[in-house]
Amino acid sequence: MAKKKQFAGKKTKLARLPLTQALTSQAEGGATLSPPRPSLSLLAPEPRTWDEVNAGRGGPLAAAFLFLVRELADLKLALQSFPGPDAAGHRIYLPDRVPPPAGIMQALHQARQSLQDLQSRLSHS
Amino acid sequence: MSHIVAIINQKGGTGKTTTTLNLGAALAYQGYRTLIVDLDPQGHTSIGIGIEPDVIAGSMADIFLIPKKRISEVAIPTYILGLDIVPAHIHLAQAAEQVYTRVFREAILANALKDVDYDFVLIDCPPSLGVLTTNCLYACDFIIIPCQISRYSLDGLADLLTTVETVKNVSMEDIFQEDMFRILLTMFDKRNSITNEYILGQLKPYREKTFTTIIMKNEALNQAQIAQKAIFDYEPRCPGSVDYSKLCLEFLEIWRKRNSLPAKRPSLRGCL
Repeated sequence: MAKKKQFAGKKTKLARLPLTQALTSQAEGGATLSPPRPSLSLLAPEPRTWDEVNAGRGGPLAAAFLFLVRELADLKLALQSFPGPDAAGHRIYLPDRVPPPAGIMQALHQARQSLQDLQSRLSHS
Repeated sequence: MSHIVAIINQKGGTGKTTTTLNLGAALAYQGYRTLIVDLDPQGHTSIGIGIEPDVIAGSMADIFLIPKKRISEVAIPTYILGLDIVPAHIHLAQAAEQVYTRVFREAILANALKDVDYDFVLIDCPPSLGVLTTNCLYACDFIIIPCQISRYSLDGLADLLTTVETVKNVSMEDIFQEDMFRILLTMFDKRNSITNEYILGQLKPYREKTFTTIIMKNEALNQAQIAQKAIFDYEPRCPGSVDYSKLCLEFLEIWRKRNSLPAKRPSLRGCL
């Protein structure tokens, strides 16, 4: 049997990928690839101030970040036994402008890392 | 900000190390300050540029074992001006095992690479899709996939694209359309016409994501490994040297089109 005939029907993993099939179909004049997915910042209106986030006009990520910072600030105040929680006390931990989603993610990563370090230090003390 | 480029294919022997070393050398000779990160515990990139892993003070294993260890603390210069390397040691394999319990383990390399002062960072990955490769994919903004002309290289390419989709949290179509990778054909031998025809046919849908430069099979590339030199210093006029020079120029053209080509550093020699 001719060598090439023995390749018939032998599909590689690459050929089975949906992307490969879409590209092949596109080359044959079929359906085109869908345009790139909008980034997170386009899915949710990007807020510029924390007041907008507070009013629910930001994306869920910024809202979650603000909530976390507020909770941690309250916790710090409670631990320091300051008289009466200050409703805007958490503002000192926030940048002036709302960072882009990637910046918020990075801040959350760093917060997680700091908490991990704290846990590690406490467990060794 | 450094451009971080991963050289990956989970299949072994596709030319990842040779490509990292020679593209890194070519970029340095073109005047771009370049860092090679050897992420393969075998340490072949380190050995290939003349670094003996057993006599070095710090290595990639430290990055994974010591929290907040910076890349700049373990990077060392090579014999090529403008080309530094973070060497790998076999200890990196154990270090990779130990990070499995760490939270955000996939971001260790990305964090260590923050604030590095290089134009390009090239990361040579191990031939697997474990935590080291995941770290590399998390940190990089461009991927070069060396692909030997063999069926198993294509399987490696398919597995890699699937992994990139997961790690980068983007669809495969976005990976394609946002220009995140290039396939590099390596060890090409014109005499293997039947295999070549089959593999090139399989890669046809990815033609626009394939470097037009092809690295031909060239014995001098193997010999340069023994001499522990970049091909440009071992045999400057051989086909391997010409291929990697062309690859470097094509690579730089991609960054030029992205409007993010760094300025050359005049203090570095540009002898390519």
